Amino acid sequence: MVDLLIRLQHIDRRIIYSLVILSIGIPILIPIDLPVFVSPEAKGLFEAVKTVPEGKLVIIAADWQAGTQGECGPQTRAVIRHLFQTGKRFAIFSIIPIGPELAQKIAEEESKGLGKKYGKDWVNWGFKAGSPLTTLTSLAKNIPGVVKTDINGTPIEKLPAMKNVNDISDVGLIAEFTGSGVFEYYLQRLQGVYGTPLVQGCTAVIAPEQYTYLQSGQLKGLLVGLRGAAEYETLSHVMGEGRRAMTSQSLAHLLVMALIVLGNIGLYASRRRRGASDGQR
Amino acid sequence: MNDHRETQMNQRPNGSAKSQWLTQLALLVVFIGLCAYRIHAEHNVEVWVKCVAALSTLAIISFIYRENRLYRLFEHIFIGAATGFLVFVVWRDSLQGNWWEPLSKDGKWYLILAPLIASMYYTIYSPKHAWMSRLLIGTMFGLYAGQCFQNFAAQIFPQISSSFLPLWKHGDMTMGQVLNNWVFVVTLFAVMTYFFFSIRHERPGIRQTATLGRWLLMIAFGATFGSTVMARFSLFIARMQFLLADWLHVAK
Repeated sequence: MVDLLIRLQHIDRRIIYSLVILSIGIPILIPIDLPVFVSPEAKGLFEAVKTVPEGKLVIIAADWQAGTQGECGPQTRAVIRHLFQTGKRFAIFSIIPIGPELAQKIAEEESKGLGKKYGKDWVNWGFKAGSPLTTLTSLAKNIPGVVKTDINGTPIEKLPAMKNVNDISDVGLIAEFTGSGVFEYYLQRLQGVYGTPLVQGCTAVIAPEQYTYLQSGQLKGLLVGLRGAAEYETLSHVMGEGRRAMTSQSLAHLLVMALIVLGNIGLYASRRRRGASDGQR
Repeated sequence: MNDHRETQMNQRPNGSAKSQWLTQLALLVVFIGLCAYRIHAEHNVEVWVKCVAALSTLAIISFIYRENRLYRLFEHIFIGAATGFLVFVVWRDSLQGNWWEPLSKDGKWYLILAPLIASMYYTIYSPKHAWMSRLLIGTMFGLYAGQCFQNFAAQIFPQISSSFLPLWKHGDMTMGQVLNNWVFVVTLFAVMTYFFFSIRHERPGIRQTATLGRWLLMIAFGATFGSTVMARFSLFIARMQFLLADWLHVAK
């Protein structure tokens, strides 16, 4: 029996990975809608989107790539869906190359059911190369001067969604989604200087660092990883990617906890045996 | 690094090389069978794209079994594709609209100076002409240093002012908020003490506070580690959703 317990410390990693695959795969095949408790930070983001003044533009800063699509994708989708539902126009923009492409795909998919049109209800400014600090400084003062054309090469003054959008004072909210440390640029050049409301959806890895900005009021709301997307979907009364994934997430976490307990039982058993054998000597 | 990888690749798990080849062959046959089934069922270009995406996903995930050649092939493909895509996007979203079209269509000939000035960076490789690169580097340093003051004020000053929190109940504050403020202030004070190296940490009062600071930092790192686990699972869930729902259509 003690031998069996000691062996718990050395479970083959392939067995662990197989268990992880099963714990994640089974809930995808047999979905169960677990309750999602909404955090104040997700509620803050929802309220910030809801209270964007009429006529103001929302900037969706899609600063994420394929590598963090699993977390930032559902967050971006949840917010874009809410913007469409509330009839608020928005512009997709990024200082990371692949983000605008991925966010555009999401916007196109979400617009279908709601009858929204590109150019009228949203635009895509695309990726802006160069120093993010310089880009954002210029953007704050002269949006058409920095964003001359959209991703299709159309001059932005010809797009109805860009009507009366000249500088940062015409922007009602910046919603930044990221898995890397580019958020500070928006804080330094836009929110901190012009007071434009700023909200964020981030990967869970960087979330602990972002809470300080929430506490200081620099951030109006925060979505943390896939859980954040599920919370936003709960607030929007939508069954989306985030909520569907939460059962897999919860089961996988339970598995990790069980493995930690088993490993510690094994450690305890091996220490007791070592202690007993030392005593015999 | 490569030696380390080769060593990893040569570390074979239990079982003969022949049985491993048979396993790999069986997996390949299963994959081709699934692709053939999907292509037969859907009859469109999209399904081919999904099959390539599924192969890429499985090749990358195969790393959890062990380092292998398929994983390395797709790792290189991803890096190459990302680099190629970056060049295209920089041209389409930045250079074409902001530089090439004004230069070629609007007659703004002076924009030709921009790449000429930017190329001065490359003179750093010639000791004789390196002074030209230093002109640019110095200019950029100066610009960035100027911006840094404002950046610091915009990012950090609100953090400092928001650290002054009421520690006694007043107005409509709840006891929970008061407790939260105490936790915040004690944590801030203890952690700052831990990083204050001008006083010996052996002194009574300082030692205990610094130790508390270290423990509180450990709790914060634990929270970060927990979040990291959640993040990694989230990324894996997304790929599993793709494989089971988007590719195989066996889930919603």
